[in-house]
Amino acid sequence: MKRIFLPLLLLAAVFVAGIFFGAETIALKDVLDSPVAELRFFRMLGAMFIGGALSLSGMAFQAVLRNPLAEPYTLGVSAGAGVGAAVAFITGIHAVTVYAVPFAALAGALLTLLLVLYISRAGGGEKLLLSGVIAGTICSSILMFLLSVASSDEVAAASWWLLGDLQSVNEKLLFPMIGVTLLVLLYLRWRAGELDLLALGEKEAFFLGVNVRRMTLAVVLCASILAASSVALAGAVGFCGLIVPHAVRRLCSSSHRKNLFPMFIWGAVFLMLCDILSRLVLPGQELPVGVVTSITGGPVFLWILNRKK
Amino acid sequence: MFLEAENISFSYRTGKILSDCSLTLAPGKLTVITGPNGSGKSTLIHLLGGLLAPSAGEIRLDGKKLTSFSHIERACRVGVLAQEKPPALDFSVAERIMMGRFAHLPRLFDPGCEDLKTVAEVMEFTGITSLKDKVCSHLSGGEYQKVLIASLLARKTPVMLLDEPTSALDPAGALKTMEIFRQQKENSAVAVVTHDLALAASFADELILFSEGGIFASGTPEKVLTAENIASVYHCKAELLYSSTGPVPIFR
Repeated sequence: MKRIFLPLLLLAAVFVAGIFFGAETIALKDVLDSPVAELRFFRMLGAMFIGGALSLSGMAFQAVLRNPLAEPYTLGVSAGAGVGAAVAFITGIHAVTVYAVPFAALAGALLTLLLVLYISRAGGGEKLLLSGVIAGTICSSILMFLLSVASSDEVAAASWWLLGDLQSVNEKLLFPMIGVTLLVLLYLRWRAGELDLLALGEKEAFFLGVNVRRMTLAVVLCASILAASSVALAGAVGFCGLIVPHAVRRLCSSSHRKNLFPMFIWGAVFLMLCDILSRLVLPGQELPVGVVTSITGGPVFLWILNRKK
Repeated sequence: MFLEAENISFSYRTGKILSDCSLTLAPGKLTVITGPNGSGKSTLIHLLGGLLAPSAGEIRLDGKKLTSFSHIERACRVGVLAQEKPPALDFSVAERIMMGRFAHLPRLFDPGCEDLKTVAEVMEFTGITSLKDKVCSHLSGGEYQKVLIASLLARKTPVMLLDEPTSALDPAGALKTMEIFRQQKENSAVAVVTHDLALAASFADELILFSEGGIFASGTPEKVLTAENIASVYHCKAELLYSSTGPVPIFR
């Protein structure tokens, strides 16, 4: 219980702090009537579930690909989403409806994922990883091409989104994403034992009783859905899905039976803290949260690697 | 519980590796499989463990086709110690051994008292209790091999298949490991693949000598380990010394 109870307390504290602090601080007596507080409530809710989802996604990819450097975007999900979003910006459909960019990003992410799964259908984790890296590189090239032919306004809008941005989290899309994330969280907890065994290797997992092909596909789909829905909502928030799994394994355990719920909670705390920082670092100006996660995440990751030695 | 292979063959894309092999693993009998590199010993273990399907012939567990068992049912009955590298993620020794009990563990709850007791017992039995909180990737090759042996013992399967369980162990560790599996044969059918012919001669109730493509000879160590058989299979001369535990080939 200790490994969940204390992070939950911290989660609640950061959530509340995120409502009060920002470009302007909200007084306690005004919090219930303030429209800014309401906006920040949904923003923190978005940060909580996107942070948790990205951490779970990174954790699952690292286990199933047996690669500590794997992250939610390893299979090209973010690059695919980027292409989808860039198309929405360049064609101007982003101005027609607020759902255009999230849905275009989701479509781009899922199409890329399906392509990767199709290409690697006859191989193991190694082929999946390589297919994902190649698909991501191709999508990045397409994205560069699209940005190079776009107008400066379109490039600015697309760049802000690509850096990861919680300001534009859509409330109506947030709740379905929360539902999906909770379902995947429960499924992964149910399958945590298999996830441990997949991390040992395909042969070892088979001998210990896992249907390796089916479980690998299920975990990759779950992790990709988490990544794709997060990207659709807030853009490609980097580093969260890479460093949080490493940090939680060091703080808690590498066993997914023990670290799954803490993984979600610490991922949520990390992104909420980064969001608060993104509002406070520059007076009168907000940074994209992806910039803060990368700036804070990079040194933390190096520190973790160094401690391991 | 009996594990039988009847006239099994298997080919990789590069060519046939096993041809028309038959053997029976039974409780009370320690079967040792030996032979040159690439002669199909590990492939046989993978076939008997269900990882590969024979291109011809049949594998039966207590008279039922091995493929008729579900993944979990098979894992509860047939334990395999394969050649394995330490995991990429930092699992502790106790966690890795507990994974051996996957088929017995509750899905949503922590391992129960019986699981914890079993893991503690096998760590004590294999002499690695002091390593229990260490990270697997920080262990030496020999230490990790003991962890894998403990993990297999924790499964308590009626059939145990071991692919080179002593390859990274010092002579004392190898001897102790073979002693452990000699004890296990009382309750389980045990097959061990090894290149150590002295160990094979000392512990085997049945010795199976592989050459390229299949079984060259099988029977008691005295019957199988002859200078002629060794010359035919390994393509080098050997002199046999006879100790109290069996014949020991000295290669020249």
